[in-house]
Amino acid sequence: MTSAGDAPSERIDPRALRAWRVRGAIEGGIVIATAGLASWLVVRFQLPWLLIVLVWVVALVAAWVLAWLVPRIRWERWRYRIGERQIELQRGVLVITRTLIPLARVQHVDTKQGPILRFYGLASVAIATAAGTAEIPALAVDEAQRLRDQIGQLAGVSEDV
Amino acid sequence: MCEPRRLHPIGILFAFARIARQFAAPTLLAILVSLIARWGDPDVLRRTLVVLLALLAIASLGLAYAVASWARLTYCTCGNELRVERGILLRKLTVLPRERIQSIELRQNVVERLLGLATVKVETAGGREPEVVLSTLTQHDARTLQDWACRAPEMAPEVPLAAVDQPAAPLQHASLSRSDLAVAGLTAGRVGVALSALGTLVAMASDLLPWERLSLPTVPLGPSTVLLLLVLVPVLVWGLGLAGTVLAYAGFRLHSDGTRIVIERGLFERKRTVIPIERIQAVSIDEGPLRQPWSLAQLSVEYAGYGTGATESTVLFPLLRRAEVMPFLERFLPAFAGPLAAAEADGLRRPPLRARRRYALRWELLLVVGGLAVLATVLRWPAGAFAVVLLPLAIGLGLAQYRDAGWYVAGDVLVVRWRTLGRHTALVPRRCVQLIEARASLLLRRAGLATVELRVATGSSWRPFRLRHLAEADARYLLDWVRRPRPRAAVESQSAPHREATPHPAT
Repeated sequence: MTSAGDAPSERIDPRALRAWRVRGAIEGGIVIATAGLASWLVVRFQLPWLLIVLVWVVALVAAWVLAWLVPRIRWERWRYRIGERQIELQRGVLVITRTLIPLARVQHVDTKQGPILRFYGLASVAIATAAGTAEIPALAVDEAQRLRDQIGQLAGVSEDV
Repeated sequence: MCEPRRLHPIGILFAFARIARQFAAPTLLAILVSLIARWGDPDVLRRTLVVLLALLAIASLGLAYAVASWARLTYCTCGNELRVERGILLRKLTVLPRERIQSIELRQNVVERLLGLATVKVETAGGREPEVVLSTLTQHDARTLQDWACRAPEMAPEVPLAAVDQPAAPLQHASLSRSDLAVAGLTAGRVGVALSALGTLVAMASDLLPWERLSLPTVPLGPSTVLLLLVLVPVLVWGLGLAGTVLAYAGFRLHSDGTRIVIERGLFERKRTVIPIERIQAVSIDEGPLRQPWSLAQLSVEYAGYGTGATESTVLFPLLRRAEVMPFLERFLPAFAGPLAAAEADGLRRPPLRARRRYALRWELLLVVGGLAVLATVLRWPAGAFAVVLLPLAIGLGLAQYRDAGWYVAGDVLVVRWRTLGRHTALVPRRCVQLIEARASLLLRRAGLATVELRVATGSSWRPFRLRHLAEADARYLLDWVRRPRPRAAVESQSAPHREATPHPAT
């Protein structure tokens, strides 16, 4: 199921990578700020200076992972396809999960936009069925709109559960 | 039946009793205090009289309130709506469209049974509280209401009630005999009983061990006390299971007219449940660890209430011999009998041999069991070292889980079998699959395996159906099965027993 032909075809919008990097950078900034606070405490209470080195190494690595590595791997691995009858998702870094949701079973679609996603014209889309919710973390706004309309149409014709 | 109906007038008495109970304690306390405080006062008689009069006034007020709220509460089923109107000064009208009624439950406690009354609880999707509770209905009215709510939606309001009472198919009945009830109770226990049985075994083994020679200075309990505990606890757990089963399933009766299954059960409190057959999402045959050795099983179903998605799960029949399962399904749920027969005839498709190791050595289970064993060994050296026995048991369970895991596609129904402690077989129609997921970690991918998880609308107690460590091709096949547009022919031949039309992927 890792073979390319079998996987859903669509990638997440490239702007999502930038949006995730921005978010990652903010998180990384928080980590670095915490490291700064920690080193001030080390100086203030005259603890061994080696601690400062340790704290900064950990903080910088964490910031790099958060801002650079995680968004990149996440983006590279994400695939989705919104078909006539079903939505297919494939995601995951170590554990790859493939999900298939028949469109007729979709109950509602929520789109969500934080300030960062809004800046890039993206929206996160949550697809709710009676058995739980699956999420596409970033879709272009018009694509999300299309998905909503499609599900609305299908809901009109499909038979009941 | 568009004319408003009222509850049985005896409801006034019940309501009054409720009010009285609320006011009784504080009022009595107040009287007592005032009497004691004024003891010896020459006015005591007059005061008592005043207090009694006041009491009488309060009581009559309460009675008036009870009468008024009874008189002002009416309900009617108007076309496709249930309307309930209530409130004395502030009128409240609740209108429930039938499609929105998710479940409607009929209960009778002991008092209600003696008086031929019943309580109906109507729930809609969303909201924790039942939307409408109508107590002290006459039994007949309650049943009429429940049957109205569970009538198939195609039967529009213009269909006269008499036509509905005409069964679509000859009525099928089944009931649980007393001996079967007893057997169901005795074999009801799950983990608790299994563990206690294990404990008993250990205790019996320990009786044969030379306790003195093992020198257990820190054990405060003598071997006989331990033995007593180990016998007592399982017996207690067993007894509880028996009592619970008898309370819930005594007088279990079931009948079906081909569109609905009606279940009545309960020793003291009777419950009546109506299951619309077309809304059944999945059927499960559960063989508990105490039942499987005797070839016994319990049947349960998951069904969608009227409305969107949310489901109820209920026991369809508490005890069946394995040989009785198929005839039972043929009588009551013919759409599921064919697929099960096909699966039994052809045999399930199992995870590949290379998955066996992973079933047997589940690191999370081994970690827990191993940790426990080490802990026991450290705490109670050397007797605790016997806890190591748990390790092969865990591995044995894993192997049993491997042996029983399997799946079979019979047209539009998927048969899934797996083992936790007991063995479960579920039948899931494709149209009920809400979501299917295939998942593989790095190592699993390298082994060409994947775990498939299938979800139907979640009821309270049902977990997703999980098939661990299938061959990758099988996992893909299952995803394709859900993806595939439904062939018309398969739908029509659903009730006839048939073989699988599409071939399974080759190994």
